Amino acid sequence: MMGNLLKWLDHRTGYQAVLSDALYENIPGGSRWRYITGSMLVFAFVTQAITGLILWAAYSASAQTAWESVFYIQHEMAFGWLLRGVHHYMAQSMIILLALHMLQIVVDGAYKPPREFNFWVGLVLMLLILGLALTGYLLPWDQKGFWATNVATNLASLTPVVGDQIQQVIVGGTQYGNHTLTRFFAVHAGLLPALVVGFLALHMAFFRRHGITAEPSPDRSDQYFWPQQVLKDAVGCFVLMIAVVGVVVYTHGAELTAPADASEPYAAARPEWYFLFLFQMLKKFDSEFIGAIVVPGVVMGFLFLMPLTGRVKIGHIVNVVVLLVLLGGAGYLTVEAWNADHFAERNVAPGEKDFAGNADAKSAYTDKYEASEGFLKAQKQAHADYERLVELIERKGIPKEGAVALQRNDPKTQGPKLFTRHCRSCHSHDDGSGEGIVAESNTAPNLHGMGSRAWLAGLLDPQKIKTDHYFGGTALMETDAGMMEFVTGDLANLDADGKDLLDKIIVAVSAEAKLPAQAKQDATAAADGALAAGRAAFEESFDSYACADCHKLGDIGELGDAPDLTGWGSHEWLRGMIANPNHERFYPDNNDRMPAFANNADPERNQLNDHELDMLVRWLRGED
Amino acid sequence: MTTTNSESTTPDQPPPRERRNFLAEGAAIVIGGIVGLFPVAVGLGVIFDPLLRPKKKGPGGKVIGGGFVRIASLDSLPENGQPQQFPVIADRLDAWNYFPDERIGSVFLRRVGENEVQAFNSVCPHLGCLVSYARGKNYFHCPCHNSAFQVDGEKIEIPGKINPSPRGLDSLEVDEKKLTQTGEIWVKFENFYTGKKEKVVK
Repeated sequence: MMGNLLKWLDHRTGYQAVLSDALYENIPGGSRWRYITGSMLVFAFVTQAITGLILWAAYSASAQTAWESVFYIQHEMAFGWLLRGVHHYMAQSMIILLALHMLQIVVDGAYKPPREFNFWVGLVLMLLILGLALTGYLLPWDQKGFWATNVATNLASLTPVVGDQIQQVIVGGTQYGNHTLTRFFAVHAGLLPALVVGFLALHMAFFRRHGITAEPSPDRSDQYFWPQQVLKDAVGCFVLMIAVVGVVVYTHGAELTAPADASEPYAAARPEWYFLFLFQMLKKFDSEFIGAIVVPGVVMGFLFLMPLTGRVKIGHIVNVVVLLVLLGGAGYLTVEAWNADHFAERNVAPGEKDFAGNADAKSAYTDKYEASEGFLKAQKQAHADYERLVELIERKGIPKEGAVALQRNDPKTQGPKLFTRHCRSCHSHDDGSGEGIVAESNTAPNLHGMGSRAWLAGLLDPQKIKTDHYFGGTALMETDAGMMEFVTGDLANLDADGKDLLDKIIVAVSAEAKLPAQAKQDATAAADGALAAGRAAFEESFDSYACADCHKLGDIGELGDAPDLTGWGSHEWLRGMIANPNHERFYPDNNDRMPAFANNADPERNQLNDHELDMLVRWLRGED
Repeated sequence: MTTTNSESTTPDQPPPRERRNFLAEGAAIVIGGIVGLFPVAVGLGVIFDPLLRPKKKGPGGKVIGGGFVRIASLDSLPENGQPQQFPVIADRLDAWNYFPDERIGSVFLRRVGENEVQAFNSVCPHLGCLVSYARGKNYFHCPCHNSAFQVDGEKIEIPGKINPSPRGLDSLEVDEKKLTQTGEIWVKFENFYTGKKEKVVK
């Protein structure tokens, strides 16, 4: 019955001939493990095509939605991280398999006549796969992919005569944007896969035409493709599958960095590891034309000529040796690039190393160390920015302007950048952990924790007020009057009552700041009367002065010689101080050198606009 | 694989060749060629759109890019000539999206005299990464392939040391009149092709 049915089916379709043609291909010398790489590449490509198609169903190629949709796949969609991870790591495995496949073909001499065309088709397939890797890297539209791909497309302009035009057509304009994504996506998901399918069909047709390259051996009898070689191929693909899934689970999927921002430098921009050797090579030549066009061109030219030079024995030996040297060289450059970036992790700081007076060695070492330090710092910052962004998205959701808007409006992300740009020439913001921002020259107080009880207690400490942390670098050091005199005189030898008085004042003045981190303590102080006691103490004299003699605090005292402490350290106070320190509330006569950052009626002319000022103050105060 | 089954529709023998008909052959090639190229030809305009429509026009026909942009006021620059980095805020057109007042890039500004300012685009002329200013050493460094520039933008050339940049940092024109009159720094913000000896505006 079944037999009759199959017979009928075969008559209508001719499937048996196709099947036996496919399965009963003779393999001289029998099945071997070394033949499995081709099948594994087909498996990997099919995996990419299918996972890619599913990713496509969740991806949106525009500058405001690409990163966002990938983020959504990665963090929200059921097993999205697994799908994206498999696509990402399977792509990487294809690069390794390509190298192994080519090595096997060349070592076994399978590129020699009459198989020249198949070898050339294979090289074209290799270039297409590398093109897929390159175009895919940009699609998440994150900082890493954006900056690395930017370098790659800039290389296109090196093409003689029409380089600039080629670059514009690839990028979809002169600047990266929506059309860069739509173009890369069309090439990645449409053009290149279609070409791969076409060339793969040709590759297999040529392969079947000439058969497998193997010497019949007296010790090994011939076998058909089925079942021994099929089994070996299947095992190879299975191992690959397990390895890729293992890596995906271990790393919890492919990395995603912060969303692309053309105005935000990313010092850790590197291509994916398989292009790292090309990246490293660009550092080796004064002209990137040599590193990016000439050397790769010569190498590709050599590879294309191999079937012709391999006709003679010596040519074949040269081919094998050169190929091994090329792969070894690429491996070496990859390791070198990695080592250069991680140099600072594995070596001591230049200050701790003895150069025996050799200035050149020291300068070279310092350059290397600092370049690596910059890379590692940028990488760490990128991870921190990303973590922060995840937090913001969880809290606020992604606005239609895209996730970049969240970052650009986030005090915690922008505060340190604004501080570095505008305040760091004089102020530090450093908790001593080595992570903070250190001033170029400490000519003004360290603002870390400004407004808190601890910060104020330090300012009122006779031992500390003259240090760099507070007024050590300011012009106040040159006077022996006012605050300096008060702290180093009146507060120098306090008895128990005096200390108690001072503590009360600290609690009350610090409460003016309304710091979020101190909200609980301030509420307790308000409830148990400590605030009222502190305000009363504000008017009490120490040896010579009371605080209220110079400072105003709410309705106590009058505006006069010293800053108004009403709302000291609060959002409003800090905004006012930064906007114009010369205002009568702050330092009308004795401002040391602080500029007014936002004192112009025309906001265009202010150094900090309203929004920046707001973010800077929020960050200083630890507001979220 | 011949079959005698009457259901077969496969002709066993090709029909005898006709006499050559050059007109028919020529017409088939020409018409077939046109039809074959048609799908690509119809899309050429969109593919080469970036070259065919180079001038970017914003809402109301406003030309986007290339003009002077206010960066900062002079008093925000230290007098010692140390460079400071500032974002460039201007209108941006990204295909179908129009962004008024967006960050479109960044520049380094540096005071070189009473009323004189030097401005550089932060983009490395080598391959387009953004350079940073190393304060301690007083020079610009690119984190990608180690290009290095003096504080005045000149390419640093030390024998035996590779500096892959083909030129110095790209200086940008500063509006001197506005600077002296208002103390505001206005810079003609432009991007340039990378990897070339000479500056070519994008």
